[in-house]
Amino acid sequence: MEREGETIVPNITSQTPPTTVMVKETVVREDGRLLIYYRFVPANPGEPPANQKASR
Amino acid sequence: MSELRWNPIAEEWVVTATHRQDRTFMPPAGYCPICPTAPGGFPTEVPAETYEYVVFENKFPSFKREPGDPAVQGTELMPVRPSTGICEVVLYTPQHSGTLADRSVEETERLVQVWQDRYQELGARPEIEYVFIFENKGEAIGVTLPHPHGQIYAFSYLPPKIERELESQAKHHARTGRCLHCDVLAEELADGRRIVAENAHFVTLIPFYARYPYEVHLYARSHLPSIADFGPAERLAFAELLKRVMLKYDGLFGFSLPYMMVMHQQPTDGRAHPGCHFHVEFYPPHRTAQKLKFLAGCESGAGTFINDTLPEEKAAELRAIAVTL
Repeated sequence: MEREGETIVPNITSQTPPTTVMVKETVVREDGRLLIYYRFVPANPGEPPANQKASR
Repeated sequence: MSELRWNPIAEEWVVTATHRQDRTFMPPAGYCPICPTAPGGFPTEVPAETYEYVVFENKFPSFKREPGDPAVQGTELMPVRPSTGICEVVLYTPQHSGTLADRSVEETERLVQVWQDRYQELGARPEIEYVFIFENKGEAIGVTLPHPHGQIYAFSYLPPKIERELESQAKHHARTGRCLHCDVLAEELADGRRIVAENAHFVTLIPFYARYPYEVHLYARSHLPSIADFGPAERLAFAELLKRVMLKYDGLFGFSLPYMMVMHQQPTDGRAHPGCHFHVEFYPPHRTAQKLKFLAGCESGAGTFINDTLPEEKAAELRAIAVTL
């Protein structure tokens, strides 16, 4: 499987500071179908803005 | 083989997807293809021991990103076109048993974020005109895998029911300058008899024109065109009311109530649809604990539903069911 990358997805039309951010990891299977994992991690004020790609 | 065949009489596309005849049907416990892959176990669709939420493209899709050639050639009267689109499965939990109603409000709020992301990502694709989020729950609906999950169909055209709704909305908007759904909701709130539950941002009701006895619609109070327009407060309120409705359903007859849950919202076709107003519709087939509402001759052949109950009485029944979130 090929890992497409992990992206921190920005909150949509945020009105209050989020307590978690959604992290999304997209994998392409051998047959071409996508598999996407979503997990939620605590929002850390020290981290870069949520709309920037995370590096792993 | 998979293709779209045009019905010029009904003026709608029919999807033929012959490979779906061979899809997994109610596998024995321990052989669920959408459970996480256990260490040393057989490989499932999810090669991970656990997860929070997983979305994957359906192995037996009705639509494909790159559909093959149709099985037959169409004519001018009855054209055929490739069944372009995307079909996704959304796993609500790594646990094999249970239902969405078992998830906490906070967990369901996270699922709403997943739905928002899928709506935006799929809707951004140029070939996708409508992102249809739905769940079929229970054997009575025809579910083939009991593991708690929903689905998303990304259509390359506007489905007929949605198209008809858009036409009604557009006519009302042209005539009054107002949103049809906002006006229906205002009348329902003023009447009050068919309201089931509500919170600061959403209202659930059995509509005046319900076709199924326990057909609940969940409306955003504000004129929000799509799920992508929800902020954190709306997400949480939506999750809270979804769970409340599902728990009320499960309190009706002493078993987990089967249903179809569908979301209607703004198309992603790039055109203006000023009357779009996000809402969810639940269609539970049970009319009593033992009896189902079947789509029989009049419903299937004439397109007219016969509801054997009064929405006002059924809403009162659901309202009276106390639930603890």
